[in-house]
Amino acid sequence: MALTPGLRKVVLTVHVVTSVGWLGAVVCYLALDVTAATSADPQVVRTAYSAMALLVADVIVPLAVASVVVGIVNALGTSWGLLRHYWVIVKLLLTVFATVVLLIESRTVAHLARSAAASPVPGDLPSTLPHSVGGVVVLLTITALSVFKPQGLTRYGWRRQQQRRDPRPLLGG
Amino acid sequence: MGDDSRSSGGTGSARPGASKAPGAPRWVRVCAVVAGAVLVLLLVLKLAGVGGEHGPGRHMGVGDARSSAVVQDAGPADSVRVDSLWR
Repeated sequence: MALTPGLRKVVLTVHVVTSVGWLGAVVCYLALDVTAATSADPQVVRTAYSAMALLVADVIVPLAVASVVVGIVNALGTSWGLLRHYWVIVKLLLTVFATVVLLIESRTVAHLARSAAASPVPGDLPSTLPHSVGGVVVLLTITALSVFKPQGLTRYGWRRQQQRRDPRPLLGG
Repeated sequence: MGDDSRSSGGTGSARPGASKAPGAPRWVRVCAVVAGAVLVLLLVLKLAGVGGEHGPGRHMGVGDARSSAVVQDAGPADSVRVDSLWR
């Protein structure tokens, strides 16, 4: 499934925007998370949890899902492929892992926001800092993988490469 | 993913004309070992009970006296969508 050069650039642009946007939104979430965990002012804590819930539901989750889907389309539409290079596979696994954890965590954040609004002492609510810090680390790793593209062909990628160089020997098996 | 101009130029460790598929490069093996070690560490911490319960229940008053005291008035997490509450 090779994309035309024009369409490939469009897909790549959307992929970069959604992926880097996801990282930026998680950094914003981290700032709110630190505020919620450290502020002594109950109203500030409530506001921070409320903003965190909105950010997760309306920005981070849509960007994450879009990043996964567009990333797969981008990989399949170029000669990088989805399973030919180790860095693409590692990136895909990390992205899917981060998205699954995010989808689970989004329920928690929604619950915390409602609890903070209802509680006279919202500062006693448990923090989601380990997840937000972990999320930033994983997304930075994914970004670095995309930039450095460490070499390494999978067996499948190697077979495809050999086939492209000399299709005859592999046609029979 | 970016520019795919390198993808056909042999980014893999296979030598041109090699008859045998290359093994996983060192960085992949190192990452696999590190990921495995982190997984084992998390499993050990969970089994040892360090850090309490993990997962959404930790924040929802299940098994955490501190959070349950705070969130006891709130309903189930999935009963109300957050955007309907905060707009």
